Amino acid sequence: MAAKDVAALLAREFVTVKLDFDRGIGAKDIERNYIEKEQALPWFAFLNRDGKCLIHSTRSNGRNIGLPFQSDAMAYFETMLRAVKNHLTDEDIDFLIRSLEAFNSKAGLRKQTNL
Amino acid sequence: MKWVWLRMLAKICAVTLLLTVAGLVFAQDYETLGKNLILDLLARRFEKVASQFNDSWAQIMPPIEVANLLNAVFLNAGAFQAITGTRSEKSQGYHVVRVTCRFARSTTEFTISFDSNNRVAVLTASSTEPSFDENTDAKADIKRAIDAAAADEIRVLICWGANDDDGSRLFLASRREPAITTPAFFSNEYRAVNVNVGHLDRNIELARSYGAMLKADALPALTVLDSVGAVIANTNAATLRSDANPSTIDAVRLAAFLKSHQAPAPDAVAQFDTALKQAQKEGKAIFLWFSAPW
Repeated sequence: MAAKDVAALLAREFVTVKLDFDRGIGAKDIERNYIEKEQALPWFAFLNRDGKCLIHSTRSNGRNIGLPFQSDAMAYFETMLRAVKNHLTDEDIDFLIRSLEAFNSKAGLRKQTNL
Repeated sequence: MKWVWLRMLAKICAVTLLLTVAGLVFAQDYETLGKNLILDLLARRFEKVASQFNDSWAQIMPPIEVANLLNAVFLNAGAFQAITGTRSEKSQGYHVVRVTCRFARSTTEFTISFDSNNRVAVLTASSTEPSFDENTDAKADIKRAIDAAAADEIRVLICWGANDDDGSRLFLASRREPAITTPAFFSNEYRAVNVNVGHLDRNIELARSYGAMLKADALPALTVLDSVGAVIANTNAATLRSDANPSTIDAVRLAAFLKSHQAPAPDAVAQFDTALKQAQKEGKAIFLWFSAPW
């Protein structure tokens, strides 16, 4: 997300706000507005401009995808982006997913399936 | 009568020896169990690792979280190189095994606690105290710490010390004291960087540029920087020593120093409100992201 090209693309669609869950005053209460049970970190959500949750990183099986690196988590992250896109094109989303894969690969995070 | 006592003494010695040997065997068995678990973890056999957890820990750490643990280690420490040590102890009814592993950028200690049924009750990983590297580019290390601190809006703590200095070693050990670990100073509040000053003959100009209070008999010196690299505070071991035992660092004093210079807690509500207003004004969605400095 810090890479300039990625940040620029995300900024087309989103205002990004990163909250420190442990240190941020009121951060836990904000999370509780969107999900009942405390989640592993990182946890994220896409909200509409009124602050209503459109989709979040905890899947229907109750598992938070966290930093997406596994195949199914990457697929879910792509689903999240496609579910909320207004300004991003399909090509933009493909680029974001490829960038994330490249980041994961550089960081030594390998894909793992069937977890 | 004398022979009776001697025979009894011999029996006691034999039993003691047997118990000692048995203890060593048990310790070695747990160390083997722990080491094998870490080898499975490093080989990414997450299901196999998780299958050894007891019910409580299995709830807390399903296989996907085991994978996340390993990935967090890789992100922080780099590629795995070797297991460099294994040790075990019995604590509060658990057999606690610590497996030390060297990675490309730092050393990580995996802690595995086995319950009375030999099931894993806890599995954690933590970076061990880094030493004062003689071959590193200290200026670059400080720059990296500042960049990392800026990302999380926390502070940098530079520790100017040396590997052969008792005070420096005691300082690193004091970081394990509850007064320091409970408030999570070194995971949540500070990005720590150790700079080797040798016998006050290394990185001295760099230390002076930060106003470090270097004194041969009062190492380490500590410098606190804000997230843009400006100096907030300087002190040294002389101000942190225990009154009762001046050769040791008083963890409570150190905690007070760290507490008084840590960054103010961010106002998450204000940050969120600002983002909400900006999103409304620009007609955009919000990417709400929760994380933590660790």
